[in-house]
Amino acid sequence: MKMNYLHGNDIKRKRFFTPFVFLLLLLIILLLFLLPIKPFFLSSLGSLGYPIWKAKASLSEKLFLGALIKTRISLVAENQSLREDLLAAELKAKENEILKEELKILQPFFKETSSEFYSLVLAKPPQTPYDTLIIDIGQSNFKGGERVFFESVLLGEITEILGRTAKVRLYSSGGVETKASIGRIGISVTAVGKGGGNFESRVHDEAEIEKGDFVIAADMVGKFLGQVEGVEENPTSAFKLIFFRFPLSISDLRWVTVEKSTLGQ
Amino acid sequence: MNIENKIFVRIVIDVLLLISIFILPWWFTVIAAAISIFFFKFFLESVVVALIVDVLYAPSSFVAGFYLITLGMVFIFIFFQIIRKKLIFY
Repeated sequence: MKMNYLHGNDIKRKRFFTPFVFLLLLLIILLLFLLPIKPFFLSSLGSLGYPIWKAKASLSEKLFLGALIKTRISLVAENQSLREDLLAAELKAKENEILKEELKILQPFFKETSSEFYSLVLAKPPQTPYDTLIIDIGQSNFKGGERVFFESVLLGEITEILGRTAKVRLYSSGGVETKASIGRIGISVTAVGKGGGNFESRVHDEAEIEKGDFVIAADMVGKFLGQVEGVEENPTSAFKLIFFRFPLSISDLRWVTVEKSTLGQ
Repeated sequence: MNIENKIFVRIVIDVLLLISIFILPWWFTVIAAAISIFFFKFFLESVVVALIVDVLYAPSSFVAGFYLITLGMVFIFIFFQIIRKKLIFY
């Protein structure tokens, strides 16, 4: 009778080594992306994704695929949201008047010349994690750091160039700190990104912040981050928390403006 | 399913996952890649897919963490490789 025996040592060795092989492979992959060749990978991925993103953007614009699957409930919700947007727009118009006056006073102090560049949004949340946008920059020679906005809402800045596309980190990205001020009372605050277009900020307890106050970008005239939507007071603390968000839906963005600022030139 | 068919299906899944990174929401791609680990032996592509999602979309000066999706996928991958042989139905 023929007998087969398992090679126990081989199996044990295999069991012992397998996790280490995985870890080694993963470390190699991670190192590949961390080494200076990362820009090459990024550029290749950008080039690979560019035609796909472009096709998707043009298709969704032409076909309005989203409109076909809208339910009555979503239409009611959209109606509500549009009413809120209208209210926000009215407030924005008033704020714009104030800002225009402010701009007239401040403009002589800045020797800023800037050119604006309109850019198609190729990928946006919820497709992208971490509150980032991928935008089409074509052959423009951006270097990173250029600020991106939509109308008068300051959204974020370019962090990386991926071939003909660029990665934009939104200021609402988790943990990102942005200098801002509360428009009505002029208090300087640090807006901390909370993801999903939301921000949180800490102000001293005596500041009279009201719902609807504009949070203005500190170093960009005429641009703002959002409107205060909630104030959380704590009787045991000397500070209170304010919550605000972008006054637009990031997932509805189709175009953004990139500012090529040449300060002091 | 014979071995040639399995390899063919695996390649098709790889290509679909790669395309989905650029078209579909990131969570769909990540969940699909995680599920694929259960169906294919040593599906290291899932980690590569997660890494591409992170490299492509995470800001370079990301402060809230370091490649969270990749790390999550690594844990799922290693966890399943360890328990895979202990599962009766596998």
